[in-house]
Amino acid sequence: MTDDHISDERTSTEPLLAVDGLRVHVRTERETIRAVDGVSFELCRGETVCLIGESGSGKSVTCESLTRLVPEPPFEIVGGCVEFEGRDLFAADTGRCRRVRGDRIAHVFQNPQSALDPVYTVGEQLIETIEIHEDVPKTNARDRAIGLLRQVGIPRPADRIDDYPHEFSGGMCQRVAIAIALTAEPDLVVADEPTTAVDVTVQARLIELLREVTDGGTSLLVVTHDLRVAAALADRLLVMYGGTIVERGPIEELFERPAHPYTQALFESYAGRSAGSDRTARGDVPADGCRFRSECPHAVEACSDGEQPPFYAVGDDSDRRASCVHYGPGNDPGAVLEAGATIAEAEGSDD
Amino acid sequence: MTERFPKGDAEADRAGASDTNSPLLEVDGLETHFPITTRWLRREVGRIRAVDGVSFAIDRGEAFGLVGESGSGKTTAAHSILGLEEPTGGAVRFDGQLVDELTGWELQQFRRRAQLVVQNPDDAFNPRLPVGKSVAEPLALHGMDDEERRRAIVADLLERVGLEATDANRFPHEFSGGEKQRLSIARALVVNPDLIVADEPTSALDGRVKADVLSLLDELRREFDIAVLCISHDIDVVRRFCDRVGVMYLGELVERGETEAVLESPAHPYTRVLIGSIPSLDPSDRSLVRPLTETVPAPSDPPSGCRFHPRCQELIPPTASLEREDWRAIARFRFALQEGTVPEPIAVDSGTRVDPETVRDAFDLPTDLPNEGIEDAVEAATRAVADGDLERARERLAESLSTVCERTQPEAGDECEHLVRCHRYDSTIEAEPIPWRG
Amino acid sequence: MSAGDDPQRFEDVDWTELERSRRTVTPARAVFVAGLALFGALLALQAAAVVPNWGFDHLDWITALGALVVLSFGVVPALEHHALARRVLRELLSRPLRGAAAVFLGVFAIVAALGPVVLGSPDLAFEHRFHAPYGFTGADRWHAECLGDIVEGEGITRYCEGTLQYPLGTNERGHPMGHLLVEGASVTLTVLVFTAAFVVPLATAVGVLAGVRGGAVDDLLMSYVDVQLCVPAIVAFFIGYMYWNVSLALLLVTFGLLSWGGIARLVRSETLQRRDDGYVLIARSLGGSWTYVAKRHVVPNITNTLVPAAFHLLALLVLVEAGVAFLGFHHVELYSWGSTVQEGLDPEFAGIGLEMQPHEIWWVSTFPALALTLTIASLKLIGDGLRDALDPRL
Repeated sequence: MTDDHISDERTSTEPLLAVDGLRVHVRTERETIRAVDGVSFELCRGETVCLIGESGSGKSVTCESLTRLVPEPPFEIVGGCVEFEGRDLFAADTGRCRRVRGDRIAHVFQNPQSALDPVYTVGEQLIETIEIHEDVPKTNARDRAIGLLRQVGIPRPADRIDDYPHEFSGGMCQRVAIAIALTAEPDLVVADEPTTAVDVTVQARLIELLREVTDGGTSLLVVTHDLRVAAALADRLLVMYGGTIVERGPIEELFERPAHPYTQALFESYAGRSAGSDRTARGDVPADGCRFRSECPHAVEACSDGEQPPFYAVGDDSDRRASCVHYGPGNDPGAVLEAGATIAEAEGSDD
Repeated sequence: MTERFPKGDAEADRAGASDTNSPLLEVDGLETHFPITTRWLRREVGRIRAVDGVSFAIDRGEAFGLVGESGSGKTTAAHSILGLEEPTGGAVRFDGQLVDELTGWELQQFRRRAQLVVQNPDDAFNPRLPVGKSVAEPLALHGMDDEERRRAIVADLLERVGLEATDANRFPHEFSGGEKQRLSIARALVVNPDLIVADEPTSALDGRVKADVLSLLDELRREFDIAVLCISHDIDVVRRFCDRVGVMYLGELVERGETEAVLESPAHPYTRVLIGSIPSLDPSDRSLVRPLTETVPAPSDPPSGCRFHPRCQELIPPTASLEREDWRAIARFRFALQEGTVPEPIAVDSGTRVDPETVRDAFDLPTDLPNEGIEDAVEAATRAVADGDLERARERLAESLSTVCERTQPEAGDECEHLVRCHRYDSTIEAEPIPWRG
Repeated sequence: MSAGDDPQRFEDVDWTELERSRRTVTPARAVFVAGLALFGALLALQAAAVVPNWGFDHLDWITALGALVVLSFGVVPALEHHALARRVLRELLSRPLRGAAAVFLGVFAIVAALGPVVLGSPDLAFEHRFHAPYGFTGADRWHAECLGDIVEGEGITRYCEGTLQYPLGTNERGHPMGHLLVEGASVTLTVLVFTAAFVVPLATAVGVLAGVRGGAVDDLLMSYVDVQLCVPAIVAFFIGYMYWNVSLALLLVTFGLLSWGGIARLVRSETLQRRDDGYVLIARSLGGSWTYVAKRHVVPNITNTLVPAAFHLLALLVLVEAGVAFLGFHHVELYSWGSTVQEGLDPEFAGIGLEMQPHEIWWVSTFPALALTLTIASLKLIGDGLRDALDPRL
């Protein structure tokens, strides 16, 4: 609460969250895996950003590293900084980090049933969270909890507050988890695959609920592997591959014409083509240069130089960026872009 | 011709066993109920109707999709077909022969010719065995005692599913999810089956790995002319992979037809909800379809008549004079009372009273209805709710708003090749199908 | 790719040629049946009294049968799957502590099995009683003859030095301690063989059966286990003690057959977790019987729980046997470690008429206690070691 005046002074153009060069390694007995390898992005107030990628791309680790939720060890945050409202979260001591984690940044996880403690009623869990954040009498906390449950669309919240998690369906559990995340009225909700474990009709309701959350001015960072969920929620998209972000941009343009060859491949997998199955089962991601080059149909020699290519602007749009040498100075991205447009068209015809 | 096979006597069907025109797999009125028993003496006190009268047929080399949400009974249906669960009714014929009558060598051949691919790649393999042994297990179980030959066949097969022959000596935990699913496919393929039952083959995978595994399965099925029963909750998988599709809801098959037809112009209201709930890949189109009410009934106590009726946006009104929106509001009011999901301003516990107008507002109930009987019923129910007497309100509404959808079970419609279990497609009932918005 | 019959391609397999094989003769069964036949012959010999003054008693028969079970269903399969056995052994020996435990148990087993045959029963030698171990001294007045040098102490006290004839000293009957340790090891080995051959398989079978079959079978078996868990084995043992002669067989039967309920419960709950796994479904859909599923898929996958629990039970029963013997409820001719410890701790009872403190004859109690401790610790270590070695994920 004491930090409120700081945020009030800030202009709205200042990003709420700025991640710069985040690097997270996993140390095992045999090797060190670079799970997150130089991720940078910004997120503004009230904005919904989707971090999309396949399993193993490092998207979940990125999210959990923001508030140091990743278990250390085996994970180790080896570099980069995360600024929340201009303050470095990693430099801050752990106590402060924990407060920001709970108060200003809230997490929602993939598996709703396991996110709730089965031996306490949902009411007890909600009230506990409320009492951690605010100094309120028990009865007020209970009223507040009922209000939160109502807000996330639980029918008859006054009756159901004393139920145990197993008495709720998966979708309802996820609603309760969102209610818990909303207790401290956070500025940012980080949702890791929030709809992956539920049925599609339930997913539709959860998407609507998440939209309502952002309508209230809360920012949302959604991690997903599902382009459809991203299309339904995001304002902006970050495409992640091999521990790095390979493309970013506003959702509509990115869906219309994916620029990075990896993004194009991802879209292609939705287009319903059987072709391209000659991909081997075991695709190793190279540790330097462009991470995607071994699978890229447009790969050239320059792809293996140095680190992952920097972000180059795609077309005239200043918001569209792709980490691909074809968009670099002196190169003609025409052929690559064209491929993206064709894929987007093919996939669009499915609907 | 809705049914692909006549419900003739079993003898005639058996005679045509070797007839290649008959479908490979015929499922006729399959029922699998699980008893709910007391702890003591295992007395049956109820039944979970996991699968309740499902019929479809799969031709040789055809891919048939069974879609539905969790709890719809699609996995139980698959297990019942393979004999992993004991069906409580109906008939399953494989190559014209009743599966539960098979014995000895014939049964063994069925167990060889119909293979299963399970959902979760993480528990699909015995963690204590090298995967080569697991992939060779079907061979060993079907009598191939020559270990060298088994090893050679597996090595050859692993390469054909995109792995390496030396992978046979590695253990399951050394593989990724996609690789394990390739191994699963290899294990199903190794006994040269005619039917593969794939239970959510890609639900644990995402993105390109999912597409790869799916296209591998597709290529193999075309190469070896294998029929596939693909169980999935993912419409994208079915769209890409299946020739025909059946949609299940609460143990029943509500719609069945060519994939293209069912997915592009779904006829059954549930299919429409299912497909309309999938977010579009076009970010500018963010509309999502809603069912009338949210609560999914328990399969132990399914609704009467059409099982989808309490959630159906296209519920047939008792009289044609009602506006569709008005009727929906009234129906929503009624089913919300039935489920007990009454919105907040209305006190559920009796004693506290609210204004009847509050009730009307809470449910957006229409006024000045053209039909007096319904107007009266709604009025009376509103007042009862306002008084806190939900039971009276329920009864009053049930009395006057009775619809054909809750009274009788819909029969299969008679559209060619396209089965729809919905009263709106029944010509004897005065209700027209509502066109799909597309 | 020709359409010919390549025997190495799955699509060219002629399935009509292959019948599901039903191998009834396995090496394990063959060994078991051969062993039973041998027993039959021995029994006939004994009954006909061909060799005078020779015969097995109950305990010998039980032990021999147990050894046969362990041999045919433990050792033979291990030799069949020699690659796995080698891997497990290598893993086990690669860790120093577990390696030491394995070596200790190996030596223990050989000594316990062959020692009594080689050494025979220990002879009474009262004149040599309470001799100190080699390198130590004991009071000279305890025994009639001192084999070593005599050391003068204060006043009239004289001490007798230990000699190599009794390197570990002797007890109150002049039994060499080394010999007693071997005898005790033999008793312990009997307990281990009985438990491993009968109790652990019984517990596993009941647990797997209950878990796999479920329903009424499960209810029935688990109700029985509940009842059995309520009967204290020691009470059953004492009741048996009242009516029959005290014997190790009675102890084994009462404790062994009343103490497996816990393992059965563990096995059942583990089985329940496995029975719906994908590989079990697949095996069933291929027509694999429940017995096949249990042997091939369930049991190998519950070793994480079963192996440490089984070794815990082995250690527990060894301790129980020693404890009961310590209390004196043992057969006089069986030199259990427990009874030897007791003799060493209660010299006034054992060494009648002599005034001495237990610490003055420390070797009588310490050596068997040490052997007992080492055995139990080794069993626990091997239990954990086997669990890890059997799991390919570790």
